[in-house]
Amino acid sequence: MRKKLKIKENVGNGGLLKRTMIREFKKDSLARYSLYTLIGILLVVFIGALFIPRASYVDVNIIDQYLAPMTDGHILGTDNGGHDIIAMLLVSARNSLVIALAVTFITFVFGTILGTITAYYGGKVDMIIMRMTDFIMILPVLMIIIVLVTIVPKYNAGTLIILMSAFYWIGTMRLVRSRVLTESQRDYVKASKTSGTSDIKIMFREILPNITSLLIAEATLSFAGNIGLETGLSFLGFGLPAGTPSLGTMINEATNPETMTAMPWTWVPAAIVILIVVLSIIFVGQALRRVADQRQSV
Amino acid sequence: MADEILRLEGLKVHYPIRSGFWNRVTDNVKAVDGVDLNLKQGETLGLVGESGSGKSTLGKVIVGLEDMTEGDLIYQNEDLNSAAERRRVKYNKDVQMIFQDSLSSLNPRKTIYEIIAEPIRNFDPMDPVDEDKRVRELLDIVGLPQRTVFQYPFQFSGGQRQRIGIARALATNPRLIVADEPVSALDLSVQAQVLNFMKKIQKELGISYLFISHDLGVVRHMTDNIAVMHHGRLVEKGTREDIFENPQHIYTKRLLAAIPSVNVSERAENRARRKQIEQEFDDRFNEFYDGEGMPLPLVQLSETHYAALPKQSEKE
Repeated sequence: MRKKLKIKENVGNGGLLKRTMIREFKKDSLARYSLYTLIGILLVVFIGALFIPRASYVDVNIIDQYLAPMTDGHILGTDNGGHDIIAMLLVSARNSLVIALAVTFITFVFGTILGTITAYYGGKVDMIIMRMTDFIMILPVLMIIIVLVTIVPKYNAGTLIILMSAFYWIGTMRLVRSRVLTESQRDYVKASKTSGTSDIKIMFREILPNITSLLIAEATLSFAGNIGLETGLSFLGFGLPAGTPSLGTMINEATNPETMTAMPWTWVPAAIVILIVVLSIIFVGQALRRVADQRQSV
Repeated sequence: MADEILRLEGLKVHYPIRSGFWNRVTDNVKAVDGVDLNLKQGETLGLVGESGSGKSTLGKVIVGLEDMTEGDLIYQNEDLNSAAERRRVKYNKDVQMIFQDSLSSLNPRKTIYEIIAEPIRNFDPMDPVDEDKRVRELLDIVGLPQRTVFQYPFQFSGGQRQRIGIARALATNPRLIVADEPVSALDLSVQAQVLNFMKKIQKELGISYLFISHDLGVVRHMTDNIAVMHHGRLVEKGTREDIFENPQHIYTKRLLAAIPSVNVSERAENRARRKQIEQEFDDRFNEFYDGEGMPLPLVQLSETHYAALPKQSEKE
């Protein structure tokens, strides 16, 4: 009996967030189509990339170099290594997205935990952690990452993820901190304290559930940012190592004036994919942010 | 005479003001500055004063939400000045709080069941069947229907929410409840309902209340003894009759004069009387307060009545 009631009521409130989201997406057709596009792209990329043999994007085939679109069954042509552009797109997009996802996940978890702790305890703990983040904020992060990428031995995708995460958790942390600061002043936190609940439980079981929508919006938008960051680094040549193509390395073809003007099929598709993915994520993220801004507690 | 359950001695709460380049402590805000109080089992002590007089801070110190700078908090003859000591004796099992804002004091993400069960799980863990029984019993005590147990706080009216707050405070069978303006956010008809209800459970369960309020009408209805606070110190304390029938301190008189009267025919006189008391407060401020504008120490007037009076009026 009790279990049944609980399930029914959970639909009522767990559903509250869900309902506001559905309403927001129904109202905002741009966000809705962005969401469909995003889901479509993700499915195609992750499923499609499974069927592409490693040899087809690692082995260099000079004979097929720079084939124009629609020749020899290469619908979008080939690049300077003679790889099919469509195959390259799928694999690159998968690599870029996986890296961006991993970085988002790490920065999100780390930033949320640290932001919550520093805001909840306040005082000296807050002082020390905030001065540390202030220090990291004023660093020229991109340059430091580039330098580290070149000097790290045994460089691979994992290293890149760690390097990027190490510097980009600040934003999430500051945002979470500001919200937890206001949230922890509310009376239900005091009530939990007088009810004898431990600090850890108050932070992660009482306060965090109340800012979930903000966290979702933040994670989405930082995901878009991280895609841009990774492709940017790869474009500059300091991103993914050779052998793991990225959307950024594909656009890197455009650094050569000849390919840029005469062979646009080598780099335009990748640029379009980045544009579509990042824009869709941002539109979806904005809709989610609006959900977060609504007072959903009442 | 009932047993004493809580005694405060020379309680002080000072907040440092930091300024300058090195962020040094340059001054203190004296939220509570030397308060002695005692509470007996089953009695209601009213704590009144204007906003900013330190009465809420005092309440928070008593439940342990705020640390005291100096002084002693003696609960059942045990010195419990630090949070660690209070945790050791499960102090909050016995001392609970009712908050002013009933909405913000209930976590919007938790069901009523989880809210009421929280103190039980922490202080008095029991198996799920007993816990369920206890929560439903508490809902019964505060007069909420059983079907509300899995609803969320925003689905209730203000009066119902305040009762949920009371149910949570009652969950561990406390001996003292600090009620920080429990009805000031409610409209008048609901105020009476909640207050009478608080009185009823006091009679049934023998709880003591520290009733913090700026509404003297409510205080008169609820309390046995009253302490008047101003600028972080007590200016007068005594029984309800002492305070309402025989106020000695100019600040108490001023507070009492501020109670609105609904008698239309005497409006002019009431206003004149209020004006006169205001005038007296301004004129005699220097007699009743020391050079820094702080109230004088309390002087005993009768067995129960204390007031912060100047030396010469003691002789009169």
